Amino acid sequence: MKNFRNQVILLTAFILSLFFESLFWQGSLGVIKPSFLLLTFIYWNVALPDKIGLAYSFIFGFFFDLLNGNLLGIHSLAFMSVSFLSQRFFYQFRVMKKVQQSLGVFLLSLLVNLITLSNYLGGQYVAIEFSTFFYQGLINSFINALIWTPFFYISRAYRRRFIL
Amino acid sequence: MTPKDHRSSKISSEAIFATPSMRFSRFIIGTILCIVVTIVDLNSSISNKIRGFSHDLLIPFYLLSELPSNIYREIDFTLKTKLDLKKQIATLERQTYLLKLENSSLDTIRKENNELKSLIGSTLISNKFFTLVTKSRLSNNFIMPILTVNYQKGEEIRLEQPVFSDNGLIGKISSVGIKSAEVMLLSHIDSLIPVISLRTSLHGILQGNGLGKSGYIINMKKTAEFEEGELLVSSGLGGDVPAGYPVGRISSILDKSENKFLEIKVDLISNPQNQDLFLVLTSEDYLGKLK
Repeated sequence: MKNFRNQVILLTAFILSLFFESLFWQGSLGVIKPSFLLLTFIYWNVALPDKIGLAYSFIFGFFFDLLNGNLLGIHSLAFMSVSFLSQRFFYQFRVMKKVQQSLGVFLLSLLVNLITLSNYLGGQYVAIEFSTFFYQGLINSFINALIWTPFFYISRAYRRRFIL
Repeated sequence: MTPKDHRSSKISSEAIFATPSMRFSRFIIGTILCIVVTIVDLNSSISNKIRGFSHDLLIPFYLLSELPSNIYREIDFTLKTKLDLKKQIATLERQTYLLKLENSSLDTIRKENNELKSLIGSTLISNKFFTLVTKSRLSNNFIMPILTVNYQKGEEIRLEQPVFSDNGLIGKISSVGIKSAEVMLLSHIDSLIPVISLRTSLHGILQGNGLGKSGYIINMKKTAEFEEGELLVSSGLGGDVPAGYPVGRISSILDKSENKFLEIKVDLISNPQNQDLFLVLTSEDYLGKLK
């Protein structure tokens, strides 16, 4: 019963982050929109690695792709990679200073942006320059790293509130 | 007490020292599964078939995600003072008079136009050709923006039907569900629309370049004489989109020595970010008439 309750609380956190991720940021603000779902994956994989399985990455990545018109499976793969790396190095990650953690988040975000580049494989993008994707990915990773600390404390408060 | 309860995670949520990380074999299996799904989608566009139906399921979620912007709009509206509204009414009254005056002259033009159209066997656009749809959600993918719209059950919304706002063409239907449909916007990098320039009557293909960014006319020879500021309308080539609907305006023309073609940037006219209602051309009779 307690396990079920924990899963519901976890699912709520993920659904909330998917909700915030889906909010539309007007105009140029969209460029600085952080990836809440990615940060959620990093946090929960580091905080409670035994409670997050591959199914989370697959299902939420799948939904994310459906919502945003991406190729199916791209974000599942990206979140899966992030989950694996977060779980593999969570001992080291936890004891790091927040600045160091932010650097880790920056690198993981870059990885996700690199994987999601394959989203644009199917098209004929004659006019699109690679720099467009590159700068967007770089800005997004920087923003993710920047908000990691407040995001970490908010998520931790949520976790402690429900005693997970 | 079960063996699981001995775990340190049960004792303290802060320190978990006995938790195994994800198995590498599982990660590999998951990765292969994701790649297979992606390849299948890339080759058979499965996502286009199921996406419309998934939007039907997610309507409550969209309503929630649009809630903050709707609340902001409502608050912004109610905060307007009575004085502002009075000023607006006065301005609108003046504009109404002007519009009435213009309408009277337009009536004459319309009559003449009708006569001309009746000569070539055509008629004015009828309501029956179009279906009104409402915006449900605009995706956050700025490079491949997708607009989700809702329509009345039973309307004949199909793939590739053109979608219009009051300013002109905004895109084409890319996936259909029971009550929801996806629109691939002109700014989507996969969007290719045949256009014609009004002043110089040159044909070209307009490709999107992301939401809020200028599109490009692709593969245009360096000898082409487009003009900056020129209005581009749909050319009707290919038969999917009717001819004559505004699409964009040429913002810059660059002749780079390293490029084989001209780099022509186009500012798209319609901006679906600030609009809620759109029209879908649902009748093929209309396109037939134009042909």
